[in-house]
Amino acid sequence: MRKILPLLLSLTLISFTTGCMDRIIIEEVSLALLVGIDLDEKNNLVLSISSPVFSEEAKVKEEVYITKAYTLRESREEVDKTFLALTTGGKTQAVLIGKRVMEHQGWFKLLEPFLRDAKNTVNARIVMVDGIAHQIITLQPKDKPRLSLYLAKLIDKDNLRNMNVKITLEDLRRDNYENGITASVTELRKDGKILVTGTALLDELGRYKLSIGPDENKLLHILQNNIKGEFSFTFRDANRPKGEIFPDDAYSFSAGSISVKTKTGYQDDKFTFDIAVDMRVALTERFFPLDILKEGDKLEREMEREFEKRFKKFIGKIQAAKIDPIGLGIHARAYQYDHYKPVQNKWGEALSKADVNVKVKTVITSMGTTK
Amino acid sequence: MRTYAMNEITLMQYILLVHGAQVGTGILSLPRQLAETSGTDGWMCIIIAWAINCLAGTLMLLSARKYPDFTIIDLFNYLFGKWFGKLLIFPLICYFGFFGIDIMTNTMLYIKAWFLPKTPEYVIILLFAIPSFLIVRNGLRIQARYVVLSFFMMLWMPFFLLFSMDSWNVLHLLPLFKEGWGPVIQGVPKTIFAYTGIEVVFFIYPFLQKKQYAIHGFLIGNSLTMLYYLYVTLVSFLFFTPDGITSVNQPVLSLLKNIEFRFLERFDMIFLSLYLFVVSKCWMIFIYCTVYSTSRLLNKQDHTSHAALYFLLAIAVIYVVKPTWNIADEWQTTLSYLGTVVLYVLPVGLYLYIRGFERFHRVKTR
Amino acid sequence: MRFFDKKSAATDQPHNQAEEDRPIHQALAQNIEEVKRSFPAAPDLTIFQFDTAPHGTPGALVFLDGLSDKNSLNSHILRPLMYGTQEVQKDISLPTISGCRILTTWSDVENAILQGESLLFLDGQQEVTAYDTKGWPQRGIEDPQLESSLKGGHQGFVETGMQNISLIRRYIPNLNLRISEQKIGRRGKTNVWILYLEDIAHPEVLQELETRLSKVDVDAVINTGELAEFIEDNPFSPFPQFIMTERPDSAASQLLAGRFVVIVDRSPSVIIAPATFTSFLQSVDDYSTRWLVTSFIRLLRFIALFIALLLPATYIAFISYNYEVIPIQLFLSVAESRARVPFPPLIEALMMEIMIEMMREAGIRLPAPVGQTIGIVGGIVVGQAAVQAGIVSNIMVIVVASTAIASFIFPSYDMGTAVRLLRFPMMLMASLFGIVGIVIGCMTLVGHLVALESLGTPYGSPLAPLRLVDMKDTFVRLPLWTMFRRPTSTRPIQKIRMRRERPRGDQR
Repeated sequence: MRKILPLLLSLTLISFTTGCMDRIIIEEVSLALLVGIDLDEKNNLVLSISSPVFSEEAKVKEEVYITKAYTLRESREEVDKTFLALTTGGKTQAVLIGKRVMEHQGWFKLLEPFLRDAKNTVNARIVMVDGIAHQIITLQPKDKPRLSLYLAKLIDKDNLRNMNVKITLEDLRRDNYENGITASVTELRKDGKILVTGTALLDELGRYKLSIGPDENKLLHILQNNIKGEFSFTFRDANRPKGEIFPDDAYSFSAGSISVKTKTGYQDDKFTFDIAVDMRVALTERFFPLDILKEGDKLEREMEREFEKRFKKFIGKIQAAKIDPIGLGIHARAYQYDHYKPVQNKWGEALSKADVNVKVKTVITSMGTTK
Repeated sequence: MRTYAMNEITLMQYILLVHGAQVGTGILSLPRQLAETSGTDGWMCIIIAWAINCLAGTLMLLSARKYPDFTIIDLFNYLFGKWFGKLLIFPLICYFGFFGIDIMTNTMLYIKAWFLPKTPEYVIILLFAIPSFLIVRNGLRIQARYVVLSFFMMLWMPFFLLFSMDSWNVLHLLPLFKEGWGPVIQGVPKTIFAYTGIEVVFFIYPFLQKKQYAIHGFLIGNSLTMLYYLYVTLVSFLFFTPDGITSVNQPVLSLLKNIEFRFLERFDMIFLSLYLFVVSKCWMIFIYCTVYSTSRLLNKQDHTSHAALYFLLAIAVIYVVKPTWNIADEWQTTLSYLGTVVLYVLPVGLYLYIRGFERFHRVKTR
Repeated sequence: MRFFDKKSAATDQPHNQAEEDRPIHQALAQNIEEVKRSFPAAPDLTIFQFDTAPHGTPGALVFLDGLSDKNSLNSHILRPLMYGTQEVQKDISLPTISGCRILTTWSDVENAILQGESLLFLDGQQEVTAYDTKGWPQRGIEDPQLESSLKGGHQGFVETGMQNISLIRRYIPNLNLRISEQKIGRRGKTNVWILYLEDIAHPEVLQELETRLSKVDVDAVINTGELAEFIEDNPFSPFPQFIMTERPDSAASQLLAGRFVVIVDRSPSVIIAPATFTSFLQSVDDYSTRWLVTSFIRLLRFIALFIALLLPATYIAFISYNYEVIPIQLFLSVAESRARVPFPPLIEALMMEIMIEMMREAGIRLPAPVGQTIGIVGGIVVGQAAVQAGIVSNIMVIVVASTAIASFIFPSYDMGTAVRLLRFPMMLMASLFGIVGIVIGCMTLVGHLVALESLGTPYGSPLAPLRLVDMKDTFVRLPLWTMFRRPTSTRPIQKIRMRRERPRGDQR
């Protein structure tokens, strides 16, 4: 034992000198905080990466590199030539993907390195840019913090108000591999400044199909039973005069607790989904006189009618596009597996033939402090 | 024959030793393997396999109970004679030794992929060897203390999986028996590697203080493992979609990757590094059994030198082989086959042999 | 270890046995000659010759000047001897002093003189009377500096062993308090007393302790710490394996828990054994403060343990390997403050840690007011200036400062230093392998703690082996009336220490 111990110790020490190969000191890391993927006119892949600069002498706190490359991994080598240090995806905040890329099948493969390398994050937000992604990345707003942080905050904040979906890479992967749901991603536009416009819905192959605005996104979240954050709506009462300058028929409310129950059935060779939405709402704004104590029911019915109309329109839209961002396929598999199994690979088509009925029931729980 | 008085272990230590020997790296990829063969019904395999293992372990203990003070080496010596017994026990010891190396290799690959991609394999094994050697060179009682302490230290770990609750969807589990019983039965063999470890009762049984509770203790330990696996598998199934879970290699770690706190991100890294405590229990028990047995075979009182030799050998093997994920996978498959033999064939064979042996002896003495 | 053994075996024997057992001479003059020969260069040796009352037998009183109490010597021994009293025994009038014994051999005589007794040689007698007139310069009983307590007693042990025993006896006036005496050191001949409660303490542990003490064969034991080093279980461990305290109240409460107290004469601290790891994180004040408050403080200490041990290492690991786990906001601010620093994180951390350790060490040596100045100069000026000069980053200063504060929270100084030392290997591991290195370091530490024993009892108890009963008094302290059992980690033979019921408000 006495003889082995020093031997072991020296062996240990020698091998430890070979350690610290993996050391990257924090300030030498150049983080790809934002990654942009575009296609130019000739369908060449254009990658852009923005990473923070830590040096005090640097005036600009971000460096952006744009390159034409074949894959992300390859572009990394390119990037390293000019960047001050090594580029890593461990802290990527958002991946911005140009609309032109999303219109092509198989773009999801480009995100492969994020999913394969264990060191990379899967919590990067996936954003579709209505336009060109690197135009956003190169932006350096003077009145905002670092663009990467700002973008991340913007998406999260709007998601809390249910104006857009917040999809991380992991979510996208899940949706992508799952037959019973099609993916949806946040949509951005540069219009002088950066605007979150809503949600882009993709089809089963990941191609961009259609965009929905904040209002429809709320409906999407309700149908997904993804009830978090704030749901506020502004409706116009069809029975009332419109008003001249100021709207006389508008009222707003926020839904406090929402319960969604989906019933799945199969009849006449097609699926039926009966979705019962139960809402307890609080009025936040009302431009017309109404005695809630007496006529509350009327307003509730009015709301229900309006909701059902909107749901119907929205569902018609996605059925026409043969997509299923709601994830009704998951319900179908859970309850009607025998019927689902043969169509699972073309679920979008099966859904487009299905009957989807949404029944809404609202209860006004409070009218605020004004009568 | 009570040479183990100094190293007696309590019932709790016994339970956790059994449990500790079972829970290793297998659990990280178990949900995926089950989903591949049995789809979303995979979690039922765990329960079926648990029942089978309970039977196998009880059989082991029934054989061992007849000779309460015999370690497996003494037992084999007694049953098969001095030389033949040694010859028979040797493959078993090799199995244990191989198991130790395999768990270390698996863990090393995880550590390498997640933390130290450029560090050579043998250096990581060397890192593992330092604390392991310090513990393994002591008696079983010290192993037991380490196992109990690290079990309670890491008790919070499963609860962290609950942070993924937001993304759970119960619909992923439905419908039950999607494709009938077939796939469920097919998935059972996949759990063997995860459940191996109960064979250590052969080694630790003679050290148990209250032998009358040996079977109870074993059942508790095995059930603990089952609950643990079931919980983790169910959480993974709830989190990942049925079609998506097969696309990730280690569902548990991928799941943890999604958990973020305000003050700490990438929870899988913290988790995986601390998981070393859990896995180390497993390999330490196997290595302890190996070196204890070899030193008993060579009639040595102290197994320190054998422990040192084992770790040197392990480092040398890793240095030469430079294992990759594929090699580790092959090893694991081999071990699963060997495990089937040790877990199921050996207890049955031994039990029958002992019954025959006893009858024969009784006839002779009469 | 064999290396050390050889040395001790080679120690030569200064006196041979026959020489030591020589009897006392008949004639007084011869005896005085002999004493003078035994103490050649000893100006403090006083030989006072006089004729004893009432028969006028010539006698001599021999003592070492500084070691005897002059007052009692003069008035209680010399006065009766020279002027006589009523009582006469063996031809001389009896001195009015209680401690007296008869010596017959020269070795005893020499020892007695060296211990501070005064010896009366009488002409024509072959025996010597030794009077207990021991008295030497003594310190008053003060609050111990290292373990000051807010609510406990403010008495500390002193350098006289007998006084220390009496301090403990005051707390436990019980017949079962046993004291066994041993002498340690060939030259030093230090008295060492083992105190224990006969009906609580485990006899096996006592035997182990006595054997270890009897095996110590050294020149002298100057301090308790020296003795502890000779008898501890694992000399290579960074952890203290015995509690050393200067507080009689904590010694008494440990006795009641079934532990052993070893008092070393001439040293103000005592050894308490067997110790467990968690007992170093407990203090006497814990039991006199309300239990909720104490529980909070206890938890605080455990958190501090982790901070002191792991914070700098974690920082190094996070910024040089596993930056992925830091949230982006924090990442950016850390990276910005690191960008100016030219050193790798390990060097940066080592510099600051060593600086802090030096300040601490310097503070001990300096008188209190100057020590404070050093603290301020070091802490504020050096820290601030170093950041501004771009030698260290802001966050590093925070890390080092919190580590230092955390490491001073331990009630036990020994444990505090152990933890402070251990964080350097942790930092090294972190800089080599990141988080994995830290975890491996922790595993090694846990493995060591689990295997470590103190006097043959597990050091890791009640964590390893797990003793759930003792958990009432480990991470938290439940109300005293719930702890009706003595801690099991000391293996007491009497397990119950109080009645389970307690008087409750209106039921009295």
